[in-house]
Amino acid sequence: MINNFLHPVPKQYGFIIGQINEVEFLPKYVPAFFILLFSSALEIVLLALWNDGDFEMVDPLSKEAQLAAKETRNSDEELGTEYQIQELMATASSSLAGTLKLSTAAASVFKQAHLSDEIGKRLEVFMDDGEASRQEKTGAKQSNKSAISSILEKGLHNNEKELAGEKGKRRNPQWILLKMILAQDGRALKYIIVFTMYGFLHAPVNFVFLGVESVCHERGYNFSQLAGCMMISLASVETLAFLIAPWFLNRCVSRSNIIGFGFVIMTIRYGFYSGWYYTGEISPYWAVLGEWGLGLSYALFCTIQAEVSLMLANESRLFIPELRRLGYLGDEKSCTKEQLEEEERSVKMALRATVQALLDGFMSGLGFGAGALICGLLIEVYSYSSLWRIICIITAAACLLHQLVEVTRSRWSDSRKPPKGTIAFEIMELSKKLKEVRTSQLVG
Amino acid sequence: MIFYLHYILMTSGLSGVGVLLAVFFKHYTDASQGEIGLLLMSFPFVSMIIKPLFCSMADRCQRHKKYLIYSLAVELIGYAPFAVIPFFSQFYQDHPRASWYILALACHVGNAGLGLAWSLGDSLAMNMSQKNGTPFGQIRMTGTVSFGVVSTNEAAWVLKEAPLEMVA
Repeated sequence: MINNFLHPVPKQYGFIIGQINEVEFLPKYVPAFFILLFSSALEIVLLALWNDGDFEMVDPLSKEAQLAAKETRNSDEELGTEYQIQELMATASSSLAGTLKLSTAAASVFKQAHLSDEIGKRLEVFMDDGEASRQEKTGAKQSNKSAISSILEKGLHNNEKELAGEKGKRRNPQWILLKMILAQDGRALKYIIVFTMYGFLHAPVNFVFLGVESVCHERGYNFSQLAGCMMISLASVETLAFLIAPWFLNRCVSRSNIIGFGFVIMTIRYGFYSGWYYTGEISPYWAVLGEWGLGLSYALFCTIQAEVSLMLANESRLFIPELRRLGYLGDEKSCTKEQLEEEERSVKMALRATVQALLDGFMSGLGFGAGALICGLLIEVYSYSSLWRIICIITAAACLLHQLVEVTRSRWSDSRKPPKGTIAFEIMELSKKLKEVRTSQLVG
Repeated sequence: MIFYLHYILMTSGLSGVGVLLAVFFKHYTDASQGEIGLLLMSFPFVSMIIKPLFCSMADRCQRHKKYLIYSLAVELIGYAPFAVIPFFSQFYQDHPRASWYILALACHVGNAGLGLAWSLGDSLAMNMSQKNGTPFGQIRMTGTVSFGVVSTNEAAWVLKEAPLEMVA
């Protein structure tokens, strides 16, 4: 019945580009490229006119940090200036502007009178005003003044000339940072292999179409129509999967299990094509069902790739002290607070697009390219069903290997528990925190 | 909103390229099937180098919007010959080899821009997702819808017209 329904071929299939491509006054195939050029030009115009704020990278933990800062400020007010004094004493060896935890008004006083003799006088005047009156209540004014005086003595050597010289010597820590993440977080390597593998498994999609075409040719079916149906199936399942994948990822199922599920889906898909699809006397339209697997797995892996890229890029914050120790960033003694904050922010954002591009490069670059190449070579030697059998075994092996890595909780695993105090422990804690933030966002 | 539009526009344009490239080369150049296959196979490897290189530069300058615009401009320039050469039938009939070299080079340029725009778009969309709490999949799925609508019809039409070996 389904065959009877699908067999009639509409005369003008392909009502969008198909119709446009058949415009008589334009050369063949050109309208599709006009669409590409027009969409690119339109996007350029839209981007140029769009608000810049939407393109600024944000720190996912910034809201949390702001909340923490707010809580600290509140507790400071409750405790009075004793807390400030303790903090000042503890950080007295650091630079002046980089460590004073005063109010914004106080910070502006320092900024205006930057490292000059005037600062002492201005500070005294400031202390005698509004803020100082509160300090008097706690009896800490004198102690605070002496603490600040000691900082002044130690901080005065930071002149701007020195800072400019130091800044010039600093190198870009971007690639060093990437190496550090790859070395410390074993999961990075695992994900590179996983995404490359998926790219490899995704590559034979064109050969699937070729194989289906040969079946259609043998059995007298309309392949053009079937190809359209396969694409509708692929795109609709992919759309649904894109909608639900983040929800599953953040609330129900772990990332590793979703990867395992994606591999299982691909195994079933290739198993389907290597089994009775080519041998049995069945309708080639069953391929519509087979392409569900591709759409579903692609959406899952794409979502995970974006999540993993963000996770790895955010780990850069954990290496700030190490970068500072190695001299890639300015030290606390020679930099102002603003400079330190700016440096830290740049480190936090240093790999956001880079990691995304790197993982995408492995998936749609190395994996896809190698997959297409190897499948092309294999198809010269074997039949389609044999090719799918080989790919099916490779997919199942990849799935088993991935799950084995997770079960053993090795350094590549998402569920490993490194000892406290290590950078690996901090990495895992950060991952948990990021997941919590994402979950709360989705719930919100 | 801009990233929803980004995916819609990117994939609607991309779906045309994906399906038509091989057929286009066959029609307007004298390239053999092997040469076309080699060209298509080289795309992923080229983009593997280009993407991290330029995305790291975008990160370093924190000028993602600027780089996204540039990459789209490169894509536009790269694919422009595909919309121009077919109008000069004398040229591609008399010099099919020159036509092949120009289009192959242009294709690499366009594809590099496309790949870069794709990666930058993904990272910016993910950033937006965590900024306003919209799931990344919700933004990304607009691309799939757009791809589904355009490529389904286009593929059905192209596959009806051209031998499948050329498309694959």
